[in-house]
Amino acid sequence: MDRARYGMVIDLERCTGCGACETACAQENNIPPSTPEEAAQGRTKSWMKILVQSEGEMPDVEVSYLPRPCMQCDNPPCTRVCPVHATYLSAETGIVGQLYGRCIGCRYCANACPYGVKYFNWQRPQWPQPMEEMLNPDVAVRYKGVIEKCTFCHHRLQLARDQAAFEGRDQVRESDYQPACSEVCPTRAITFGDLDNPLHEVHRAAQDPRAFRLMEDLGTQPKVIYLRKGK
Amino acid sequence: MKRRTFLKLSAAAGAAAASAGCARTYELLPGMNPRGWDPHAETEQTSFCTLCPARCGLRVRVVDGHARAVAGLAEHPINRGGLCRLGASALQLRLHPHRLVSPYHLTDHKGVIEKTTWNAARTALVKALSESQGRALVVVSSLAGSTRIDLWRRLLGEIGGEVVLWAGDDMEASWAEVARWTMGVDSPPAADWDRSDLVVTVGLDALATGPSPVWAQHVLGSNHGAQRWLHVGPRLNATAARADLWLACRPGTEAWVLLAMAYVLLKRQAHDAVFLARHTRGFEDLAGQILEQLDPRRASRITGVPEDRLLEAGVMLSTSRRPVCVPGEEALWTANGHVAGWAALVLNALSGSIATPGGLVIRPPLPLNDLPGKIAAAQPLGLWLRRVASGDAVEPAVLILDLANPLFTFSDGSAVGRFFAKASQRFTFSLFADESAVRCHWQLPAAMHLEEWGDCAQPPGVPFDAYLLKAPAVQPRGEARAVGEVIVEAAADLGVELPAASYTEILGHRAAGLAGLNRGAMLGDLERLEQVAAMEERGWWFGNSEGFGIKKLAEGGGWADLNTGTPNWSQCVGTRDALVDLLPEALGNAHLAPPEEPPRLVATPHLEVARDPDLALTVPWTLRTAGLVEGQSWHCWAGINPVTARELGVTDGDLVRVRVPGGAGEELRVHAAVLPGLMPGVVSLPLGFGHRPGPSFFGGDDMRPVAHLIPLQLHGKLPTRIVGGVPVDLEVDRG
Amino acid sequence: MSSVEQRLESLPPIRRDLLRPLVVTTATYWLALAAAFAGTVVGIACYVVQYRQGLGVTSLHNPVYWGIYIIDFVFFIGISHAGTLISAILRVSQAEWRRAITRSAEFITVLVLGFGAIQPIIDLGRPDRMLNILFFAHMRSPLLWDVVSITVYFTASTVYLYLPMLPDLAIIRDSGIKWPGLYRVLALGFPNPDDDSERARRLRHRLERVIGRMAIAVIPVAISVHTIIGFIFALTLRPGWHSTIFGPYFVVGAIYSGIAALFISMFLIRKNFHLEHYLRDIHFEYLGRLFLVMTCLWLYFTGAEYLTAFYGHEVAEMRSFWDKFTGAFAVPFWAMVATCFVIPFVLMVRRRTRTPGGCAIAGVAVVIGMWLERYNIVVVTGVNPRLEAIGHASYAPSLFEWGIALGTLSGFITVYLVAAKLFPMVSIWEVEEGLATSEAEVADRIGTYLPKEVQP
Repeated sequence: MDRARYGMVIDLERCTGCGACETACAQENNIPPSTPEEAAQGRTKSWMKILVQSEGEMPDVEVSYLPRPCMQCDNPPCTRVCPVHATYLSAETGIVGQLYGRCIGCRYCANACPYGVKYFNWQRPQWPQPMEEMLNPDVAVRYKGVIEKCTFCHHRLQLARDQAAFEGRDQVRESDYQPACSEVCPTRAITFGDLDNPLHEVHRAAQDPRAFRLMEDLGTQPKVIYLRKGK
Repeated sequence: MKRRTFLKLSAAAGAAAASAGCARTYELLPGMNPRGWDPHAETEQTSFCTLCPARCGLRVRVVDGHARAVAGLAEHPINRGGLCRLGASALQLRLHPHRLVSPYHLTDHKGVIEKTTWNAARTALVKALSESQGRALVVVSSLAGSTRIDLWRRLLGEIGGEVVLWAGDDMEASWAEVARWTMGVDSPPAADWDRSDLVVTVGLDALATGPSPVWAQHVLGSNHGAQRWLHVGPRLNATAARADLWLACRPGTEAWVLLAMAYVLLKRQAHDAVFLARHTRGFEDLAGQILEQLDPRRASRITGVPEDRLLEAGVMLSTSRRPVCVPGEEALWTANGHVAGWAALVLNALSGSIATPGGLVIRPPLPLNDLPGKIAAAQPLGLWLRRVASGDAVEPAVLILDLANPLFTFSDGSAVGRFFAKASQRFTFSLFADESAVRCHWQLPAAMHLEEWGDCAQPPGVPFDAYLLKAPAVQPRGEARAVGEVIVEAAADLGVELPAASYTEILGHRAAGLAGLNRGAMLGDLERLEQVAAMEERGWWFGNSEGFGIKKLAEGGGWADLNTGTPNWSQCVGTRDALVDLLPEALGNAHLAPPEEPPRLVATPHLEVARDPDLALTVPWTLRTAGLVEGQSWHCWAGINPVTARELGVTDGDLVRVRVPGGAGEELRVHAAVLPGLMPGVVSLPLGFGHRPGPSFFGGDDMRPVAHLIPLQLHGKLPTRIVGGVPVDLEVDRG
Repeated sequence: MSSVEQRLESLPPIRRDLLRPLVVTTATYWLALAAAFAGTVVGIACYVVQYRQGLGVTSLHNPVYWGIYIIDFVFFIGISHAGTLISAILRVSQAEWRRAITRSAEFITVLVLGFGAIQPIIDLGRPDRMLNILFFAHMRSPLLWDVVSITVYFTASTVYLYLPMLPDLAIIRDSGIKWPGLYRVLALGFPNPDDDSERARRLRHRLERVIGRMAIAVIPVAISVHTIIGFIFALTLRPGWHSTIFGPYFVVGAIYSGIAALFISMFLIRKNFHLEHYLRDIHFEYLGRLFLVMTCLWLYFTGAEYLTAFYGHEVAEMRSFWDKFTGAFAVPFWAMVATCFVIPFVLMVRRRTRTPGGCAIAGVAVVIGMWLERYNIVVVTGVNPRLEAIGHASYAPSLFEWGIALGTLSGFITVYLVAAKLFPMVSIWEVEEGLATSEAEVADRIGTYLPKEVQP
């Protein structure tokens, strides 16, 4: 398989803040529901999270929605500080991966990330008894004490590669590998693909004049690109 | 001891400690790899969602017989692969720990519940119905599915009794009535959003609460740049947030915002004079009234919308090629709800947006095969209550609830509570032991949407004809059963004749009515559907030689005809001369008598279900995790503007008391939420809290707290929940 | 009189006074030991709960990932600079008044380093995997630099404590007042200072040379430890942490808190062991002057830090800034200023208050203040993430966190008290050596840098 640089373009003009991406992500990646106590403590895990900001006063109130997955930076501040190299930038896919089996739970990477995308398992994740039946068999369930974050559903990439190999193809097509959030978005606000592949839609979308990255001046080179609100 | 020895010993000790640390094994979570695990093939099943009236297409991933993922169906004409937050959490609903999974029997006198069997329940149900002597009542959720509702109607048509629909119709009561006054049709028209270039939503949170949120989101996303949205309403809801223009008006005054826009339209001569001349009655009078009495300056005083915004909206309307205007519950559930609905229709008429692509659309009923025999009529619950009050209908002896929770919609003290208590035999088919279920003698677990066969003819909110059919993707959980099967069994026991012996066969019998229709196509290939629509427009008919066997139909998800807008007026406008009556008698002069003096604080309703404390605004009505709270409170709240909050001395989170001065309702004690996106002087009350754990998501219209505060009023022929525009008092609770 | 006491009384006066605490135990001591031990048990119990249930028993949450444990980590490691400064720097600069102080200072260093170094392990989500740091070491991580530097510092400090203690251990061994077997092992065959043989003199000379070299070597190690701890914060992008001044700032703060802790321990040793002749007013006086310099240095660094933040007026930085100055953290912040500057300055700037009592009060104030400083640094930045949309959080440590913090402090006090029973807290041989040879040495030294008789 060739190298790829997977990235995402999120059109803020289309995002309605419906939250389907959050739910689909939680379902796809076996993110446990938090109890009311955990939620009150601010320990809800949302790999994909919609950040809402409202500005102004009536009658000129404006609200903006910003879906925020892991930025999958090309210059990630988190990988530098991990003492055991449990988080790493994959040269093959551009995805910043997380090795749950090696993480010692020091939370240094969480402090280093300026976007707040790293989530820590403060206690053992629990599902109410019958709900374990809906766990996705393709994704590991994390134990307490380790850090987790959005992985661009890279288990789907592995499935897509397997499927391609089975069918005798040597390329994974754009539609074969889409993370849960981009798949479920009802307005098609999220586009996902290989930023380096000129045939993929993200490649073109990333060059839209409305494009910007979050906190670009920090030099993290995020691969999640936003298109400014406004036509 | 020598120094060197000491150092050597330390080194050895250190190494031993290090190696001891390596030899740990980590256990996997229990249950992840159970012994005897036998992998099956992985399959994908098609289904549709019934958690709201929209009926989006689903793709269920089934591994080892367990549903592991629910995603949108890419080729489905309603949702096109997208889903809303609620639909995406379907599995959490299916596997909810509080879900009813066994039949229970409540022994009346002692209040003791015991597990029972389906056989016992069936016997009891049949016995109760056969002895009911025409005094049986079935309250069924309108989300239960077309054929299922018709089966109840067939059953009670023979036995004697009434069938009442719960949820859905009440929401559109005013709009349906307006449609009846002006166009003589029985059901509220749908709107062809996709081909409109200006969508005006009046008190309708189209993107979040309906009638077809995912479809509306698809329209927004795909028409990005080619379409403008305009929202009229007191609240910054999801639709207002995305609208190109939001006219924030006081609740109960939406009609006059629309009429001000109509004023500008008329002044600029941008109305569709040809359409109005050919298809409407009363235009001259109406235009005279609007131009004389309802100018934007007056409208601005009445509604609170700045005059320049009204003018801007009017210009937007005038410069649109095909605007469409759709009202929703926030405008309709007001004292002037009918006027708002009527004004919305007027805007459509003035722009010529009725029965054309991009405008209001009348969809005739689908020619599904009937269930032969006597069929009881189905009416909204509110209408039935009215008939009971006037002596026209009789209180039931046997009450059957099918996915309905009327005690949550209406408070205990109301008529519903009374007839509930009087019915001597009460049966319920529900997913949870909700407020109504726990008062039933027989609490029977129903299958949820992924677990049973079901259909839906003409899902609301979309302008095209569709018949959706789903097969079960997984086995029902525990002892839950598909209610349709239970009805068929009861019918057999009671000797009621049905066209086939099983529920699935009956579905097939009904669906077969679409065969030979020579239009539309089976779902499964969206491109083909669109091609067919294009060909039909050019007059090419498609013969459907493939059989309508329901297996194939269910595989694709159903049938649809994307061709919308029928020009056959006499078929779709039922007034005596096929003209749309712009000034119907029933309206009277209501539109000329706007409320001039706004009260200090006035309420407005909305359908949101949960509030996330992380968000500045409230979360749309769908929950991330069905019933399991994640930082989203199930409590009711009273939303107020920051300026109003300061005036009243209220801060975010304070407990406040809300009451209607001089009203018949009770006082509401809730937390205050300071919301910047609300007009000053408006208290927004969400409809939907105070639930015990284990919510019912079926037909989520009003829910208890507001039902206590503002009892249901019977307004006009149909009862309408009047919340918007009701003056309220709010003060901090210092008790 | 028991035989032990007889032997004690038969020793020369200095040795008798300084070794008396090893065999005579007061009720106060038992009480203190019992209380400290109880605290330690509480801490251990809390940790057992935390180990089994996970870090959820703390009040930590996104975005406040670090709390009390890291605060205590920095705090304790900071205090460890007591030993280095006093022993090493004063030894290198040949200040004779250091002689009575070095032992207790070095003990503080070693013990507090031990307890400080386990704090990050307590803070780990998976402490059972801590050896991954060795197996999968990622040398780019400041945490790993920290592991290396603390290990080196701990080793160096232990050696630097132990080697200069050898003559004293030899004295105890030969006096027979306490478990001779133990001291025979510990003394490693080192000769008693009274021993005047060729071998003894050679060994003593070698010891002096090693101590001298270690004194020089341990200074940069100590500085690196707290610089790297500062880097752990400064090398992230979090506003309030990402500051170039953190390296030196933390070192200054560490030395400051180290001296403060030393004051407390000196005061308590002097009072409870009746060592007023050894830890004299002048020791407090001189150390107090040094303390005054550190107070002013602390103010300088703090002022520079906040002036830079304020002048740049970067939005994210200012959120933390205002939180400290006027917002939710105003109380701990201004309390820190009061206890780290106002109180010690007022006490140390006047000669009349540079007394043992005054120094002890200043020491307590600064210890509290420096803890508050770490609290302000860690928590205020924790609750103010750079991405404003994430929102302002809050953090009030849970009972388990306080329990473990209490346990750590109590554990340190317990071990220190036990050490005071086993080892003399004032270096016997150095004091004796000072009395014997210092005067001559100093006179010689002065002669080398003051002008000789000037020819007219």
